Amino acid sequence: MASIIRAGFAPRSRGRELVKIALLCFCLIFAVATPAWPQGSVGSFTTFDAPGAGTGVMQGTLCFGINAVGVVTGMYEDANSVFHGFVRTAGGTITPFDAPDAYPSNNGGTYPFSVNAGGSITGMYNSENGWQHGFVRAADGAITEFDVPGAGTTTNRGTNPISINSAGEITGTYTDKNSVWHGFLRTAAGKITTFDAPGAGTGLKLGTQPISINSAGVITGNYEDASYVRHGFIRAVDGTFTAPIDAPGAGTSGGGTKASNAVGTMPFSINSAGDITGLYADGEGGVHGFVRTAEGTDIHLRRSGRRPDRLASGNPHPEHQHGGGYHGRLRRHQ
Amino acid sequence: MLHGFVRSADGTITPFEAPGAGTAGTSLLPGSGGTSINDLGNIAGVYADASGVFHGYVAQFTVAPQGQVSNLQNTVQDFVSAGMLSPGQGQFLLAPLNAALAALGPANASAALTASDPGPGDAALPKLHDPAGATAERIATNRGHAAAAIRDLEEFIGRVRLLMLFRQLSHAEGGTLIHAAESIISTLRSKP
Repeated sequence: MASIIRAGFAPRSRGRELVKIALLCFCLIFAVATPAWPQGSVGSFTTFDAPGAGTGVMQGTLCFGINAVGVVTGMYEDANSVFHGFVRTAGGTITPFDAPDAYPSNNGGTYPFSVNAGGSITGMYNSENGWQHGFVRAADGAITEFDVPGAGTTTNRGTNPISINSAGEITGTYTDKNSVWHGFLRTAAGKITTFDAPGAGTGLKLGTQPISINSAGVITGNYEDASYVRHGFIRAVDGTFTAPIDAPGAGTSGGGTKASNAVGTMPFSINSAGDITGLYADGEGGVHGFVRTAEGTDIHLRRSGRRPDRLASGNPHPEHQHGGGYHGRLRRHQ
Repeated sequence: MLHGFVRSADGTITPFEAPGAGTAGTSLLPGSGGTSINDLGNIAGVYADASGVFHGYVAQFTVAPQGQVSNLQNTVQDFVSAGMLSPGQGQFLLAPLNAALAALGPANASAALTASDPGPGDAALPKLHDPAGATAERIATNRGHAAAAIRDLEEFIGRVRLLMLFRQLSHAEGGTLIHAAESIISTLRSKP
């Protein structure tokens, strides 16, 4: 993690990009799992560290997913800045793991991102030359490595799975030899289908980035167009797209260059009902959350304060990191 | 500073902090955040301590009974989707949950079932608990609804145990469902 922070979340690799996306979610709990949650409270905290986690600044344990029975997956960075995966049972037993071919280099290793109801985990690992590969770890610990056909085979290119559903279907991004992003869907049996959202840019570090797949196999994510503006999309089971999905108020100008500050709409999670949540950047330094119901109704959650500058620009200004003070302003938009 | 929050489907935002999270700008990324939540309200997340070291946590988001039953329904449906239960077995478990939800009534009645009771005569009571202004009669009705829901949830627990007995659910899977149902029953029994 150290390099990510020190590099100011610059997209040094697709893996780093995915970690960046996950960390951007620090302030967004994906509470789209249920149809009707009245007011509640958060308590009964149990804190933990993966065995072997480093204790240096920006080292330690990072959680990325929890499944229906409380199994948690994530990664930890050891004292040598090598990343390893872990799985924690609801009872608290932590099992570290590495993809068999992960290369234990500085800032390299194994990066799990998602765990499904059956305990299967997906994520990515780096091989020796920095080539990125996907893996799926079964509940019994067996790890299957895979690459999407067409994925680049050089440093910071390759296959980046990010979400697995209850049926074992995996979605994610692969980067081709020209550093263009594309989406993929891998069935539990290993069949891989690639796709691009309509309107996705085809230039360097542009393209399609799926982020989440629900139990029905519906995928959401974002794509960056030729003007460097991000838009949300939903890919139905039959392969048809709903796109672009733009939150009202999302920035519409990417400045014509690959900026470090993303502008536009970025869905992060989809539930079984088809509701999605995510964030949008307004282009003026503000980041906001949104929920879009399956019917297409957008409900906006505005945050006070400016976006934590570190998350986007690598130029930290802690005085601007106002994570709290949420306004209760909800706005519906048809 | 980063803070965690849960946004409920009804729009309610519940902020939270992980214990031990840094509270000042002494670390590069102080504070806490959540990264994932499941249908049972279990949260997994990360916090950075005052030295800038990351740690993991799990926490529990507690919701009113209607929401908890809905979450439990979703968990059963997840088990069916994952092939851990057949559709028929899923229906076998969902039936008493559907009955419990029907007994509890719509979610907008949840305030009467879950909010701390300010006692008859409290000025806030009509606004918070019953827009129509009913008092003791409404509470008595809620007690009756809760009792019916508890019976349905006990039926659900019995059915889970049956599936565990026939090894259709593992000890861990069944235990998770039973624990969740018992938690709802406990909530219902603690309310007026």
